[in-house]
Amino acid sequence: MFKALADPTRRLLLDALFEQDGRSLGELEAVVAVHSEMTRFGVSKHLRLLEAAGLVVTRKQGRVKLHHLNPVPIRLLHDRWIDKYTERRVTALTELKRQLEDNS
Amino acid sequence: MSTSSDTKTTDEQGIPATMPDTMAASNDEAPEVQVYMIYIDAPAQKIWDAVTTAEFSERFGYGGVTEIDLTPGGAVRDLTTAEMRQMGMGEVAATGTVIEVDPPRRLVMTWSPVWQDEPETTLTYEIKEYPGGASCFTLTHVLTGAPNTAKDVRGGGDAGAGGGGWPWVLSSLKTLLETDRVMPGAGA
Repeated sequence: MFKALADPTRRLLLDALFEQDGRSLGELEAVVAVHSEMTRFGVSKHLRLLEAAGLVVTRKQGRVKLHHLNPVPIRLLHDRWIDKYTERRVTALTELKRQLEDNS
Repeated sequence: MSTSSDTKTTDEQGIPATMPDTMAASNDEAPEVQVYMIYIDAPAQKIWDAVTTAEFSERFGYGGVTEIDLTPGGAVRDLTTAEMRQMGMGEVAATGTVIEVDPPRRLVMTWSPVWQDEPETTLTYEIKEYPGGASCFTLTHVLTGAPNTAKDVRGGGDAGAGGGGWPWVLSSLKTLLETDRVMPGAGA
């Protein structure tokens, strides 16, 4: 996932989907074209990498493949680290309580 | 994978963070079609049971009992938790009707939360099991004409205050099925 985020074009694609979700390859190609010269193949390669990382999910609508931002992996990352942080803080407070009670 | 062969003019600083005006949609609006995907180390049947029966529904997400009559035309009811009722909600948090059932792979239903006066939305659950027993769970929520509901389910708010939306619900589903533990803050 970090590798997927570590590229400016892929971040641009994610930004574009955040602005407007559910876009076709052609639409996303147009967004990238504003910023750099990239072939459709290049854009599609970046999208496949984002899909493999779970950050983008595709859905067929008729004959068009639409790309959607999948916010779940970001949430998982958040839960994992926030949980860890909260856990440590709680442990520290429990320990402090024990020390204070032992001393009294 | 190298990307240098694809780009001619792009570099780290070459791409502005914001879209040109023509591309800009309002960030206050949540997408009308939302797709969520999560891999869970659990067989399809277990995920199916977790999202369709009352047995699991109090142990992940917002914790209300889910009642689904798993036949086309069957009733869908998400009941409130004691905490929600204390906040002044009635017995039911959301209602809907089953449209399509194919256990343990696919469930399509309508879904309307009672706290928004908007047209019904459509929820599709798709579960694909892989060899080895892990599965991919995809939730597609079509929210045509229901911008407030769309905002509510999108998440991105404070999960502690109920703003976690689907990403948070699915995260707690993964925790429950993989560890048999209720994620802190989730459940009834």
